[in-house]
Amino acid sequence: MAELVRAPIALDRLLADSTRADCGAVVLFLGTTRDRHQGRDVASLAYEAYEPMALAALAALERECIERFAAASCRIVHRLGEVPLAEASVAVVVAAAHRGPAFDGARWTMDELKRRVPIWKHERFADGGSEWVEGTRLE
Amino acid sequence: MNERPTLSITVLLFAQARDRAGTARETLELPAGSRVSDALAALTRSHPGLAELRAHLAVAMDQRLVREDAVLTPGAELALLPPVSGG
Repeated sequence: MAELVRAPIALDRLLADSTRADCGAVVLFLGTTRDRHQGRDVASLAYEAYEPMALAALAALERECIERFAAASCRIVHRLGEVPLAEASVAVVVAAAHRGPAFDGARWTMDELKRRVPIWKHERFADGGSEWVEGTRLE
Repeated sequence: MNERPTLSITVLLFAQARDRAGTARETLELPAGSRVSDALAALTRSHPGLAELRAHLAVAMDQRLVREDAVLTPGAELALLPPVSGG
């Protein structure tokens, strides 16, 4: 079940939910907030979403990952609002019988998330400026 | 004199679109049969700051991406979606 949250992502629970007897592999990918962007010092980051459409898009990605990679489960959690530096803004967890599909599924899901989900990242810079991160047109 | 029928839609603006327009939400009255492109033209007239962004916007009607020639449904929720940058 895809989630949008406004607090630190509960990784223990997410991993516990994804670990099961018929799976030999669980891959956790975290996207974390970084302190540099194109040569400027980032002071803080915030995310916003068109929430109902973003949730539907994330849920569709979860289903598609399971189908494409014959994964047992795929879970995506994205954080909204301000996210302090060096914290996870997104988590993708894929469980599968073997490590190949778990790695591939997590990578594919994260790549697609960046193209398909109406979420936007806003950066405030240490020098006082701020901007919306240049993104990808939804198609 | 005949009154032309109109329709009303709600427009949601996100990220750069909201910043440039100075509003997150707006109600538009347009002639019945208007298309997404007509709504964008009206919004760009009232918020000229959107003009530069327009070519980069995707538009969703009731949470589905639509082309600019799609006909507006009365009461629809139209969302202006700048290029996305989640993750």
